[in-house]
Amino acid sequence: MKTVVVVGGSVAALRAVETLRRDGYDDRLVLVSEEAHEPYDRPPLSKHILTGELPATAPLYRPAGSLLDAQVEVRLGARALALDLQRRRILLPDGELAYDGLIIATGARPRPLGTQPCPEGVHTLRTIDDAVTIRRSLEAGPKVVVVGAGFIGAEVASSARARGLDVTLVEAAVSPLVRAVGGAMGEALGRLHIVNGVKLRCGSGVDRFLGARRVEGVRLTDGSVIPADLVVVGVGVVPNTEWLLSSGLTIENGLRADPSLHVHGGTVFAAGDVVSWYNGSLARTVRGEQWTTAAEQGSHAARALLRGPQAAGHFRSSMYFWSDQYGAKIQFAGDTVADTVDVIDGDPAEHRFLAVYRRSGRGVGVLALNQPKTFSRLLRALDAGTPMEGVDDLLQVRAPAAGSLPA
Amino acid sequence: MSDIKIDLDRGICCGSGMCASLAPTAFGVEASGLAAVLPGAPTTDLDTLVKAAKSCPTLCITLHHRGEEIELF
Ligand SMILES: Cc1cc2nc3c(=O)[nH]c(=O)nc-3n(C[C@H](O)[C@H](O)[C@H](O)COP(=O)(O)OP(=O)(O)OC[C@H]3O[C@@H](n4cnc5c(N)ncnc54)[C@H](O)[C@@H]3O)c2cc1C
Ligand code: SF4
Repeated sequence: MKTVVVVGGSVAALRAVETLRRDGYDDRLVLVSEEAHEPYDRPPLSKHILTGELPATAPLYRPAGSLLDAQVEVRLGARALALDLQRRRILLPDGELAYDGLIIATGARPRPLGTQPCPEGVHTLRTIDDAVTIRRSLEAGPKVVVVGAGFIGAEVASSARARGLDVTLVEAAVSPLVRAVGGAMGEALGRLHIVNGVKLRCGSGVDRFLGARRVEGVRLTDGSVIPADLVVVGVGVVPNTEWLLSSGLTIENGLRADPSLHVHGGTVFAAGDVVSWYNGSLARTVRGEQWTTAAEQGSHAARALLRGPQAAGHFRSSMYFWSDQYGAKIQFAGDTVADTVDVIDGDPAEHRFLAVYRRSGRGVGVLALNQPKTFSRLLRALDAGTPMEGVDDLLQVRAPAAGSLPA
Repeated sequence: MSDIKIDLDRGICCGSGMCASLAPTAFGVEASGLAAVLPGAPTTDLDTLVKAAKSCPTLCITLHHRGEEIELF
């Protein structure tokens, strides 16, 4: 291969580029990213950047310029507009870029709420620019409404509370985090908001934003009005696949790849939040929205491009993720599509517990709140190839004392 | 001699660099992509070390103060 192009400028793209170089690819390597910054870490954007514990600048993964040292041509501020598979070209605003190998890592962006009109002071959070805007706004001491109690919304609420602000968290579902961890555990984790002084409003969505130019409040579908000077909307993400629509590739909950992340003709691979693939570890087709999965996919896609999809094998992932809220640590690995969930250690009321998700009686996922030791043991075992089904033995689970809850 | 002992389990480090951002005198990310404890770590102030350890995505940093493990959570 004379030219490998990686499209995307975040963790999956960075890992792809670094793995290509580490594994001996030494021809032309181009990184095309729409962003103005070299790859930086998103997880701190809702955490330390909003609280002010880190400076209001992009938390770059590597010292500025180090990609250039690795002989990577970095094209920042360049948005890929289309892909021509036959001619092996990518259309950029300033012309075409030919490739012999391509890794697609264009990730995802916040799902818009679609509520109109949308006055000033209503934001979503994905980039450092979003984070800096929200941080400036927080510094003025606003009344904050967060729409959507998923992980990002929860972390924004937590960071705003850390600044002592008045925060209301609005969730259309009956409890927070339903999509991420299911109803029962969502409710357990949602108590963190309440004990930390956030007003949690579940069960009604946003009807409209109030305020002519700047936002002044949020009216909910139940008719109630919450005053607001700052609104942050976190209602999920949509994969960035528009530029691929004319390529003929399969777009289905993101860009569809085969189980080894191969997309087309031995030359095109995909990684990160943009890709859906059959994950053998969960035995279903999924799309990740987690940092670790995106990072590992980046490396895998690079190896699959260099050695071939057969040799690289299937990409299997326990889809580990974590979240930091109110000084607590939430960790999850495995699948939440389950019949039951058992709290096997600790007590949700004390904000310290470990819960196992089961499908047809077999362990498929583990959720932990403030259980660092046990979870590290689990991660080590999963890394060593222990299947999730072995989780009961691993965690030395006895029959659950409290009985199972529906997941 | 410092009272603080720092361990970093590279087996589960995911190379996020959180530790290096929050406590740059104590942790760095090596070319391998994994984090390492720097020589300046034992003299980094304890609050900063605790913040870095708590923020580590995989909780692979453990801290001991005068032989006792510091409970992070
Ligand atoms: C605020 C926040 C907090 C988070 N916290 C956590 C956490 O605690 N734990 C966890 O596990 N995960 C967390 N995540 C999720 C995690 O950050 C993502 O899973 C990860 O960033 C996905 O990486 P990616 O490389 O696939 O894509 P993204 O990070 O989505 O990046 C995509 C990149 O592609 C570029 N791009 C898109 N389209 C084009 C185009 N057409 N041409 C060129 N470039 C393009 C974008 O500009 C961007 O640089 C968080 C995310 C956010 C936003
Ligand atoms: S924060 Fe933890 S996982 Fe991230 S690089 Fe540091 S030690 Fe590794």
